[in-house]
This record gives sequence, C-alpha cells and structure tokens, in this order.
Amino acid sequence: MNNNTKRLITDNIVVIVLILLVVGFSIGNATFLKVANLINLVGQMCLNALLASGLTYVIILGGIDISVGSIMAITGILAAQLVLATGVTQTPVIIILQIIVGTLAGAVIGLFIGYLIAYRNLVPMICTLSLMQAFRGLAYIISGGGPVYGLPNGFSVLGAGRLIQTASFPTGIIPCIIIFTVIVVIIFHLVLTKTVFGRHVFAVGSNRNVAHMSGIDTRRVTLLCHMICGICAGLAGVVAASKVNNGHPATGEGYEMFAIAATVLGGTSLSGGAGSVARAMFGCAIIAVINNGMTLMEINAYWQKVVIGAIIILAVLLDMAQKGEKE
Amino acid sequence: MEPVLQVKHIAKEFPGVKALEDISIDFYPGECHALVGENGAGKSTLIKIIASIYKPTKGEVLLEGKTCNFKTPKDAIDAGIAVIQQETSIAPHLSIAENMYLGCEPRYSNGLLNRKKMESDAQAVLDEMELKLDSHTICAGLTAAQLQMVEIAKVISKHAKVVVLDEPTSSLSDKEIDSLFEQVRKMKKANTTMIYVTHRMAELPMICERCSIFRDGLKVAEYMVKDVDEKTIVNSMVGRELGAYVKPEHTAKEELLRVEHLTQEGKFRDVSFHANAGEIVAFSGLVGAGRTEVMEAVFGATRATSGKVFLEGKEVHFKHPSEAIAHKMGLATEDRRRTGLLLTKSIQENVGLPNLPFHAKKFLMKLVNVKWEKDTSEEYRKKLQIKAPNIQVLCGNLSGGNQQKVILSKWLAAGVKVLILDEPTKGIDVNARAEFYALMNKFVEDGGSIVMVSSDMPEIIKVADRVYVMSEGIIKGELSHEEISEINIISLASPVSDDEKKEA
Repeated sequence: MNNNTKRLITDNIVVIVLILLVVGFSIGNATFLKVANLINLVGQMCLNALLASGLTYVIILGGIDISVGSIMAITGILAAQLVLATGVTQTPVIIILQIIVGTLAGAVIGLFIGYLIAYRNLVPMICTLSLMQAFRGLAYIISGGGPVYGLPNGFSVLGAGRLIQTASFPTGIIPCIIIFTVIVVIIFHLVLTKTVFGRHVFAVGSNRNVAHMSGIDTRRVTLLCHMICGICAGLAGVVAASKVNNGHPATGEGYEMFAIAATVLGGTSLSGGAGSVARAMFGCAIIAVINNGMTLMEINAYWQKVVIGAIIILAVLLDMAQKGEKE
Repeated sequence: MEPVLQVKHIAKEFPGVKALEDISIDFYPGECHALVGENGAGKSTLIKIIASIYKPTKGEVLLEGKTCNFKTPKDAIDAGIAVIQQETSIAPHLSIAENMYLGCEPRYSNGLLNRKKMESDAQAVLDEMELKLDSHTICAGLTAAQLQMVEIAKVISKHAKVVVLDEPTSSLSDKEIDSLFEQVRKMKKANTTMIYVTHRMAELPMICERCSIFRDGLKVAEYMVKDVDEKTIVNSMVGRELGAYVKPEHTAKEELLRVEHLTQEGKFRDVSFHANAGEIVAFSGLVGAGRTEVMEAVFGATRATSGKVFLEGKEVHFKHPSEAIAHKMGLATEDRRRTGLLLTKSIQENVGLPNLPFHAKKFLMKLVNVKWEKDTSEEYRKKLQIKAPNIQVLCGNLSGGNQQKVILSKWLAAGVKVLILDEPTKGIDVNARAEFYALMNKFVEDGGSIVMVSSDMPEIIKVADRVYVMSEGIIKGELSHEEISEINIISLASPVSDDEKKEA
C-alpha cells in the first residue's frame, strides 16, 4: 500500500468504520436500514451531537468538561419550572423560552467553569469532576428531588415534535430535534472554522506559550470555550427535557462519556490543537449506530457500556499512533 | 592507561539541525576531562548521548571497551555512568538519605525498607566527604550548593565509574566552588573518570587534566591543560565563522523605544536603555543575567514592578503582548520550538497568528481573512526565501533557519517598528546566519529598530551598532561602535566575585 492510500484511510477512518458498522448491522438485522429506524437513530444521536459540538472546543484546548451531563439536568429543570411559573401555553413562546433558558443558564455555568480553569488555574479534569457532582446535587435540590411535570404540550415540541405530516407518517416525518441540532452544530462548526476566535482556539490548544507571545489572550479564549461548551450542554438539557416532557434531575447521567467518545472518534486530539465539530458528528453517528444496532440485535445493554469504553481507548490509541508517526 | 569511556565518531542530527558531527574522545580513569565551548556548541548534546538520554544518529559509546547498548537513562546509571545536571534532580520533600538512595534503597531480606542502614550508609558518605550535613535533613531547606553536594554524595554512594558534571559552578559562590573542587579531587583520587562541562576557562587548570574544545557541533581541538594557556583555548573556541556578512554603516535616526528604570522584583532592577530607528542594539551578558526577562517585561508578557516604557516618545503600559503588537512591537523568543512557533501548524497559520484580528472581515464575529493570510504568507515566503515548497508546510518540518524566517515573517507582516530578537541565531547553521543578518539589516535600513539579545560574542561584534552589557539583573555598561570588543564585553559581563562584593 503506498503512502497516499494509507493516509486516505487513516484520515477517513471514522467514515470507513461507520460504513462497516452500517453494513454489518444491516446484514445482522432486517429492521436496521428501515427509514423509521434511521430517523429514530438520527434523533437518538442529537443530544450527543449537541454535547460533542461544545466539547470539541474545550478538548481542542487540551481541556475537558465532564460535568456536561449534570448541566443538562439543571437547564432542563429550569426551563420546565420557568414554563410552569409563567403559565405560557403557546408553542412558539415556549420554544423561545426553552432556547433562551438553555443558552443563558448554560453560558453562566460555562463561564463559571471557565473562570475556575482559566483564571484560577484549576485542572479541568478535577474541576469538572467535582462540579459534575455538585451540579447533580443542585439539580435534585432545585427540582425538589423528583421530576418537574405537568407541562403544557408545547413543551415537548422541540424534543419530540415532528414536521411534515403525510398519510404514511401521520405524526410527521422529520423530528424538530434534528432540525434544531443541525442548526446549532452548523453555527458552532462555522465559529470554529471561519472566525478569528476559532483560529485562536487552535493556537492556544497547540501551544499556549506561542499563542500568548503572539498576542492572544489565552485566558479569555479558555473562558469562552468553556462558555460555548456550557451553552451546548444547556441546549442539550432543554431538548432532553422536552423529549420526555418533564424536567428530571437524573437527566444526562453518563452522557459525558458518549460525548467525549464521539469527539475523540471525530479526530479531536485529547492532547489539544486539532479537531473538528463536523467530524465529531461522525463520531456521534458511530456511537448511535452501535447503540441502536446492539439494541436491535438484543445484545445486553450493559455490553454497550463496555463497547463504548473500549472504543474511547481505541480512538485515543489511534490518535497517539498517528502522532508518533508524525514525530 | 586504558580509557574507561570512549565515544567514537558520534553524530547527532535533529530535524534540520546537525548538533554533533564526528566526535571521538577517550576518557581516562582518575582524570578530569573538560568539555568547553560556547552555548549551543554541542557539549550538552554529547552529555545526553553519554547518559543515554539521546540516541546518536551515528557512532557508538564504549564503556570499558564494550559497546553500550543502553535503552534508557537508567541502564546507563546502572552501568556506572552518573550525570549531575545543572538543575539538581533532588526531591525536595525527601531527606538527604532518601534522596541518595532513591530507587536503590537498601532492604531487609523480607523486602521491606531498611531505613536504619540507609541512613547510616548515607551519613558515612557525608562524613567521608567532610560535609557538615545530617542524613535526616529534609532537602527543601538546603542551599543550591548543599543540594549539589547531596548529588555528589549520591554519585559516590553508587560507586559510579564515570561522573559527569554539567556546568556545576554556575550558581555557586567562590567558597562553594572551592569545596566542590575538593570533592572532584577526591573522586579523581578514587580513580573515577570525571567529565566536566564548563565555559569558565579559569577553572580548567584547577581540576582538569585534559580538555576538548567544541564549536558548532564539532570537536575542534583536544589539549592537555598543563600544556596550553587560556588564550589558546579561547581562540579555538571563538574562532568560528559567521558566514559572509559584513556589517554596513548604520545611521541612527529618531528614538523609537525608551525604557527608564525598569525593575522586576528578583529578576532585574533599574534597567534603562533606548533604541533608535536604523540601528541594531544588542544586549550581551551571561545566561541568566536577566536579559530575556527585561525583554518579556517590555513586551508586556510579564509585569514589571516599576519603571517606564516609551514608544516614539509616548509612555505605554503594556499589560499583555497584544497591546505591544497593536503598538507595532514584536518579540521573537529564544526558544522557537516552545514559545515561537506552532510546530503542528502551517507557515500560513503561523504568519497569520498575531495579525488575524487586524485584517478580519466582520460578520457578527471577526472572520479570518484567508485571502490576506495566504497572500501575505506567500509574499514573505518568497521575499525571505523560506525553503519550503508552499505555505501549507508544517513549521515543525522546517530547519532552524527557516523557522526563524517564518517568525520574522509574522512580525514583518504585523508591520512592527521595534523588533526584539532573543538569541536569533541559536541553533542555526553558519550560512543561514549570514542570511538572517542581512534580513535584520534590511529591516533597520527600512526605518525599524532591532533590540537583539545574544550570548554569542562574535555575533554581537559583527552585527550590533550599540551594546548594553547586563550582569546579575543590572545593566553594567554601554558600548558603542569601536568600543565593542570581546575584552570590553567580558570585563563588564563577569559577575562580581564575593571578595569584590565585600569591598563594595
């Protein structure tokens, strides 16, 4: 095999793995490739896609945020409580409220995390591990220990509603959650690839000292990346709450692992400096396909955890191997 | 007499740089062999190869006639090669005894630590060295000199065959140096092979039998110390080529940068200097004199405790490098790989790095002006003759000289008027140096001002119009034009000895 083909393969390994998985599961199970299942599958990967978009930023910096699952619970509960407290019932108003709460609450939490990491020099892993616990506790406190329910129907449109009703799909074809996620993902992909700020994120992630000496405010960049990660987690939280039409304090438990796995599978290096929101989506797809496929093939759910964990290790090993090759 | 340690035809290449070429030396037991040369001459690289920290590109190391196939530094230590680095590797929270036996602690037959034996053995070595130290003492409270003694005690306790001292006297007082030399003589008496890295010529006759002179990665001479005088050694050390570059006459124009009484607690104090358009001002001095720290403070990368900085007559207070850059000042750092360039990014991205905000298009956020970035980096690739097929080449794959050109490009693209260059030709080969000097010259002739920090004396003499000499955090003097000579610089740069301090 010559070098070019070899590179083509390593550069696109996620796509190849994804195709192999899809082919494998389609052979293994007849329902896998059905339109209904595929739409279902894409819907399942949306929460993960939102989380992974934000995580890509902090992982490019060489950082991490494992509190994203707990942030989801908080913003979901806040949105539910706000809708109950204001008594609004019109669907568009509710959706706007959900997006505002997700964005604002997520941003505030993200800024707090970013402040601790960028200006107080906390190690991201330790900082967000502690906050994961603290936020989870807060979620239970503000919700009173159980789900916030009794919400108007409009609350569930963002997460569970569908557009374009037809005879064969009376409830609609395209889930709103997919449209919403695609918009958010595109925005954060463009911010990372097209803006000066995005370029600075890569610079800080590749070498903080060089970035500093080139006039980049590395602390501010770190702060903003955590804010973006918080916003994405916040939005994922309100969407998750909308999906089940209540705000539950246990929402998002363990989601951080799926999101980190997706990001790393998408080629974002855990040592920082390289990564892409768009490619993280392939990572999300791989995880969604594995989960969905294994469920269809009636493989024990506990095995899914083992497989996801193993995939993260493999992805990191692959990343390290590629780096070693370059050196 | 048979040599204990031999290096044969050692060569070491790093990407783009030849650090060592064809080095062969025999080291004899009971002798102290000095390795001398300027910074970057290759002494430390050779030490690292002997200690098995680096693998040589070519050649071999022989210990007692046998080829060494060490895989890790620990193999070298186990075989009896001990290196005492400039920075001590003492764990501060452990006691002297614990540090001395770290990794080879005496044990009881049941595998548990034999603390009693460890402490009494350590004490025996300390007493033998006639040090007034207790093996139970925690190392955190010891002075730099005492820590070095602990390192030596550690080496003695291991009965190392070969002991390497890498510039051990750089942080010691005269008295401490005397007691260090006493230990070196004792080790020689015990038939240990000593290798001594230094750039202080005066120390050679005191403890060394032989010396090898390094220059630009080559061993240029080997002498018996008793047969040569200091001048001969210095001449072979500094007689190095700087390539074909002749300094043109510069005429200093208006003042661009003025620094008054700049002080940073513990680093430098009362530093005042100025730099004019059309001239190259150099800062000379020994490593650690505080020159880099001054430049970083002027550039806003660190904060000065007090003092003033003026740019074109106006006082400025830079709190961050971005403000200095906005005022058309650039700083090329000494360590290109760690603080100068994003090695995993392209030439284009590196040239763009400090400049993107100033050329951005606006649409909700500042967008990268890719066209400007491409055109500009392509322009400088051609103008500065950066040896790369295109601007997408990753900077980590360029040679030192070309990396430095990329750094220069990024500051030229920023339109800087004052350019600070910290050791600009460190690790760059002869021809690339001459090329770089010509670029520096072009910059000042176009009305810019260069402040260059350099530890390379011939370079300063060849390039600078004016020289400030720093020592121990203060400016010791200013030399201009015909006053600039090696003798004048050295006499200003040498740290004041303890006796002189007392008199003062």
